[in-house]
This record gives sequence, C-alpha cells and structure tokens, in this order.
Amino acid sequence: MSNTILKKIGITNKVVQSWIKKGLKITYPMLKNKIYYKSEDGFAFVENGDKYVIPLSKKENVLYTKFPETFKKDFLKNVRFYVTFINWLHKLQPKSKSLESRERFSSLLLILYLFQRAMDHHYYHFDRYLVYQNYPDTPVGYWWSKLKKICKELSVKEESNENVALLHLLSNDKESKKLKKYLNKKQQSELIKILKNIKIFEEAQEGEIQKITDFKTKENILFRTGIPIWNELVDLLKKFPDILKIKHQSKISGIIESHPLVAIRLILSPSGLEYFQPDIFKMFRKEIKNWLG
Amino acid sequence: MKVLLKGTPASLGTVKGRVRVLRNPSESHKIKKGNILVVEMTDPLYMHAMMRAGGIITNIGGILCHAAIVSREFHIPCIVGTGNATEVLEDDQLIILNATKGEVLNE
Repeated sequence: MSNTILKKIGITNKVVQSWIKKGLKITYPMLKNKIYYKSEDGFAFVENGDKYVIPLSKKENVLYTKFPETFKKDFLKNVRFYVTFINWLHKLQPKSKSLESRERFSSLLLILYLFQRAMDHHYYHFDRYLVYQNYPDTPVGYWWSKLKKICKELSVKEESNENVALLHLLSNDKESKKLKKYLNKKQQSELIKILKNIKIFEEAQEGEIQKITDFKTKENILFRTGIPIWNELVDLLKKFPDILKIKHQSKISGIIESHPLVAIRLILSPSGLEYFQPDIFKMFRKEIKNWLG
Repeated sequence: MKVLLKGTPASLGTVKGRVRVLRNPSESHKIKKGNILVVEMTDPLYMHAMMRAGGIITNIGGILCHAAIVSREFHIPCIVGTGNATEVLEDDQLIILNATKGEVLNE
C-alpha cells in the first residue's frame, strides 16, 4: 500500500496514534450545526465560526454550570493541548516543500484541515461558551442571568440603567459597594457566589489568552499557523490552477479574496473540497482517515 | 448626533476622541494617548495600545472577553461585539464613545 501524503514527510502512524491517545479530536467531514442556543429574547447567537461549534455535551454543560472551577481546569488543559498540537502543525509546513506540487498542495490542505478542526475543538468548542452570557442554558449564561436578575432589581431601587449596575458590580468599584446596600443578606450572599463564579470564567479567559500568545515573537500562536498555510495554498492555486476542477476554477478567485477565516471554512467544507481534482481529494481523504480517533 | 454603531457595554464611561483602527498588534505605535482604539478583538499583545487608549471598541467578543476584562480593570470606556467597527470607523474620525449606553456617536 502506498504512503499517505504526511507519511512522506515523516508523519508515521505511530506519530498520529500518539496524538490521538493524548486526546486529539479530529472529525470529518466538517458540517454545519443546525441547532443554536437561543437567548432569553429568542435570538440565536450566530457568527461565522458558531455555525461549526462542536457543542458541550449535556453532561459537560451541567457539570460546568455547577462547577465553574472544573470548567476553568478542563478549558485550560484543553487549550494547552491544542496549542502544543498547533505548534507541531506549524513546524510541518516547511517540510511539505520537499513534495511535488500536487502532493504538496494536498498535504497543506490536510494540515490546514487538522489546524481548523483543532481550533474547533478548542476555540469554538470551549471558548465560544464564554461569550454566551445571554444564553441561560450555558454555564456562563446561567450565572449571568442570575446577576441580571439582581441588577434589574437594583436598577429599580436606584432608578438607573440595569447595565450600569451590572458593570459596577463586575468592576467591584466604589459604586458597587453602594449598590450592595440595597440587597438583603440572602441576596448579598447569593451575589458573592455569582460574582465569584463569573470571576472564574474571567480567569479562564485570561489564562487562555496567556497560553495562545507567544510573547517572544509577539504572535498569536493560532494565527501564525493557519494564515501562513492558507497563504501558501493560495500561491499554489494561482501557480497551478489545474489543481481545481475546470468548472470550479472561476469560483475560486471570489473565495481567495474573502477574509481568510471565511475562505478557509469554505474550502474545507465538503462542498469546498469538491472543487479539487480527484487525485488531490483522494490523497486528502486517504490521510484524514488516519486521524479520526 | 448620529449613532454610528452599537455594541455591548463592557466598561462604563463616555469619552471623546479620534479613532485609530489597528489591524494587528505591530501597529500599536500608531495609538496616541487618548485615541479610541478600534480592533477586531484584543489580546495581551495589544496591551501597550490599550493602556494609551482613551476608549476601546471591538468587533467581536462578549462581556468576558479580553478587551472587556482589561478595560474594566483599568477603567477605560469600552464596548465589544459591534460586528464591524473596523469597517465603519476610519482613522482620525472624531467620535463620542458612550460605553455606558453601548453607542458610538459622530461628533
């Protein structure tokens, strides 16, 4: 049986298996979600990446809502793992230069896919939950809705805006001390618990950012991997347009001109991968099978 | 005054200043004290720019994002999640950032 494209640059089955054993989750194909979280006012939160969020399981959701500290621990463990993996992918890119052009393209496409799915299993799987404050069915949203309830009451007593009270309490500033006096003892102790838990989510966010930032090179580790691979793929596409099926060659310029984060999604989606000639796709598919845990 | 943009209030306050849109942290030197920093999102590499900024506006992020946490800590008016501030606002544009209401107004 012939070698898969990454084996040709030294990535043996043993290497792949060691990543899977460490907890790497790669899924294929990349499909859009159909169900989104809804906020209290019924709106679904949908940004570009959210369509592909790999949701927390029901069990995880319950656990992390009850124990934000566990969320923080798992979240930071997950980011450490994926940053290590993404750094490893970053070092593979120059190795692909030893391959002939079509194999090189296919190997880069594969590395980009691994990068995107690694991002999805951290950045979107975990990280997106930190912005779901308006979605009470999520860990952050649950505690947020409790805080908002208290702030609503405070805003009536204070005759002020609910958001103002909320931001004062989060900042723990002078004004917040004044606001707390309007609450009874039970509410005050509940507020302490709420703010403590929200602080844990804040710490998770800050901890993640420290880990994805390379202070030596002043780079965001996540961006330094995906964008250069994408740029190299674009260069190869311009140089060798016959990598694409003839009927799709006219569509590619529009994709290339869009934002890389959007373009990468489009290219790696099942319909995007269909743009490439069968030999490119065949090499990609043969290799990706090795990575599915 | 016209409302140019709306976002999520992340740190209270109102400030008037000139816009500086940054595409990446290496452009941080372009921020002069009191400028309104406008970015896609922030990370620690933007800290130098954030500390000089009179206000902060981001395209994406929620109340627990880096920009929101840092701006609350340093009492810098900030709104997050505007969607497209980096496209709507231009360098040197004079604006009023009402972070308490979550609004950006033209001067």
